[in-house]
Amino acid sequence: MSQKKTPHTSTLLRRLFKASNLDRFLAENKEGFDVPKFHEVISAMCRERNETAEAVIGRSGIERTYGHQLFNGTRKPSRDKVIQLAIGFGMNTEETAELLKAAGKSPLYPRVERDCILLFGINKGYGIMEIQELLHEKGATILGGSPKYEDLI
Amino acid sequence: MKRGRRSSADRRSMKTSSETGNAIRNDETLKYYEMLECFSCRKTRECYLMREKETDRLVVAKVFYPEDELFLLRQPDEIRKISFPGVPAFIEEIRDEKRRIEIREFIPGKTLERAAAEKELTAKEILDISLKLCDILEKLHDRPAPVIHRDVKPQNVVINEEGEVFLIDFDIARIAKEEDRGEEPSTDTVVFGTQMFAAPEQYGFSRTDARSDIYSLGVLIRWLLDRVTNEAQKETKEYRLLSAVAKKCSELDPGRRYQCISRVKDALLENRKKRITKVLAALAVLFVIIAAAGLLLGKKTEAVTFEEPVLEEAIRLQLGKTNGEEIREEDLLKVENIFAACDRAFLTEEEYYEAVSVLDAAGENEKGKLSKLGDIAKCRNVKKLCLAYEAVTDISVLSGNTKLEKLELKKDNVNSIDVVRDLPELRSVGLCGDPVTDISPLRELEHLLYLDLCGVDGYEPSVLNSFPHLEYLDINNRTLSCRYLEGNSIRRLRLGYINTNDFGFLLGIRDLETVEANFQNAGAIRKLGETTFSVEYKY
Repeated sequence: MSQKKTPHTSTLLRRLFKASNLDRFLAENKEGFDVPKFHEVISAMCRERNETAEAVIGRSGIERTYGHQLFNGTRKPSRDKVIQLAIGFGMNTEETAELLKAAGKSPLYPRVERDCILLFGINKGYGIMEIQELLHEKGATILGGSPKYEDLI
Repeated sequence: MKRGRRSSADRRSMKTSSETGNAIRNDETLKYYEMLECFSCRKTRECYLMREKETDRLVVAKVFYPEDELFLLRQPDEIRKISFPGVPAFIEEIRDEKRRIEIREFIPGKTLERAAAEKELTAKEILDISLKLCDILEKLHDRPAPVIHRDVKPQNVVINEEGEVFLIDFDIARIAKEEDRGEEPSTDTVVFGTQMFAAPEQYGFSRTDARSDIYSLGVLIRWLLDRVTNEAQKETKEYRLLSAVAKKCSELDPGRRYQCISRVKDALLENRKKRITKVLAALAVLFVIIAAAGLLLGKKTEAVTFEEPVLEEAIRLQLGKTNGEEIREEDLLKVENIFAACDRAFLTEEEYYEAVSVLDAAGENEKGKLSKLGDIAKCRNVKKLCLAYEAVTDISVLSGNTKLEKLELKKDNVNSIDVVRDLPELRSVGLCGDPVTDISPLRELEHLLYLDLCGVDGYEPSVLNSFPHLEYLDINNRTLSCRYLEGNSIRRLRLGYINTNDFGFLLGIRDLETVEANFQNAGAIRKLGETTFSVEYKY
C-alpha cells in the first residue's frame, strides 16, 4: 500500500458536503474513489492489528501457500475463504460483514441456515475448528468444502 | 426429472410446514439442496445460490411470494425447455400457496454491468459481445414457438472467464404467437421489463414480439458505447458501426427497426467490411482499365487473341510476356497455372489466396466480369486453375484440360460440374459459394483429396455417403451433410456454421485428426468428452 492513505468513506463524505465546487472536489479526491484491492485491505488490516499474515493464515485454516497467495494478490478468494480469513483475524460479525463487502461477496444472511451457523460461531468468537465442527454437526457444508463453490472467485 | 422420487407430481402433493412462515430455510421441499448464500432479497422475492447435495452442482433459486407480481406466473414449457449454451437451463419449479420457487442452472461469471464497471471495454469487445448476444437471441427467436426474452439488459448478461456470453433471467419471457404480428394492442400485456431497456411497446402500446428484444439490444449496445471514454476508441470503425446498428435497433416504431435478429447480426458482420470493399472496388476498376488497355495493345499482334482480358493477363504473367508481346499457340502449352480473382490476375498461388482472403473479408459477393473460359481450353497443360469471384457459369469447355489437378471456382456462378468426369487427375476441387446442385460427378474422381463445399447450399448431401478418403472436407453450408459422414475417412473437417446441435457424428468418422468448428458450438462439442481428434475453434 502507498504511503498516502486512502481516506475513509466518512471523511470523504464530510469533505464532499463542505466543498463548494464539485469539479474541484472530484479532482482533489481522485484517489478516494479507487476501491482498494482485497489483498491490500487484508495486508493493511494485518499492520493495523499488529499481526503477521502467517499467523492469520494459521488461524484461518487455509492452506499456507494458498493463504499467502491471497495476501499477495496472486489469487482471489472465494466467499468461504473470506469468511475463513475473518475468523483468522478474530473478527466480530460487523467486521466480517465489512470484509465480505470489501471482497465483493454477499454478506452473511440469517435466513440462510449455513450463514446462520457461521454468524452464531463468529459471534461467540469460536475458532476455525469449532466452527467447522458446528457446520458439520448441523449437516452443512464446511468452509471450503464444496469444490464448485470454491471456484467462484 | 430422471429421479422418480423427485417428480413434479410429488412436489405438488407435498404439504408445507406452515410454521415456517415466509422463511424457506429448513423446508422439506428443498432438502435436496443446501442454501449457500443470498444474492438478493426484496420484500416479495428472493434469490439464492444453492448447491445440489448429491452432485455439488450450483443452482440459483428464485423465490416469489404471493404479494409478488410474478407469484402466479406459469411459465410455458416452451420457455422452460430452452437449453443451449448461452442460457441457464431450467431445473425445476416448486410451488404451493405460499410461494413459487424456480430453480435454474447457475452461470458463474460477471454481469455485463459489473464487467463494464471494472474495466473499460474496447469497441472490438463490445462488437464481440453484441454478436454473441445476437446468436443467443437468434436461437430464442428462431424456435418453433419463438421466445421473447423481454428483459435484455446489462444486469441480465453474464460473461465468464473464457469470454463466453450468457443471457439469464427468463422471468418475464413470453412466447410470441403468430397473430402477434397484428397491430392490435393487447389488453393483457402487463407492464414488465426494465425502464430504459424495455421497448416502448412493452408499456402496452402494442404486443411485444422479437423486435422488442432487438430494441433492448440496441439500448444495451448504446449503453456500452456510452461507457467508452477513450477518444481513440470512439474513432474506430467498430464504434461507428455499433452506433449505427444500435440506433436502428432502438427505433421507437418497431416497423423501422431491424425486423429480425439475423438482420442485426448481418449488419454487425457485414458493415464491418464495407470500407475494404470500397477500396477493392476501386482497385478492381483500375485493373479493368489496365487490362482493357492491354487488350487494345494486344490487338496489334498477329498471333493468339484472347476473349477474356483477365485470362490474357493471367496467361501473360505465367509466360513472362508483357502487354503487346506476341503469344503463339505453342506458348500456351507452357502454361501450368492460371490464377484470377475478381478480374485481377496473379502469378503465384500465394498472391491469389491473399487477394481472395481480402475479398472474403469484404463479405460481399461482388464479382468480376470473367465468364468465358475458351482461352483456357487452349492451354492444354494447365494443372492449377483458380478463378474466384468471377461471373463464370459454364465450365464445360474445360473437358479437354485433362491435366487439371486443382480446380477452384470460388464464388462464381457455376451450377453444373459434370465436366469433372473428363478430368481424372483432379485432386482438389473448390466449389465454395457456387450454386452447384449435383455433386455426384465428384465420386468418380479417383485422386480427389481436397473438397471445399463451403457455402454450397443446394446439393443432395447423401452423395457424401461412403465417399472415398479425403484429406480435407469443408461442409460449412446449409445442407445436412454432417448426417452422411459416418464411416467416411476424413483427416481434416471444417464445420463452420453448421446446422446441428448434435455432434455425435464426429465420433463415427474414421481417421479424423482435426475439426474446425465455430466457437458457438464449443459447448455442444465438449459434451462429446475426450476425443481422438483435436478441435480448432474459430469465428
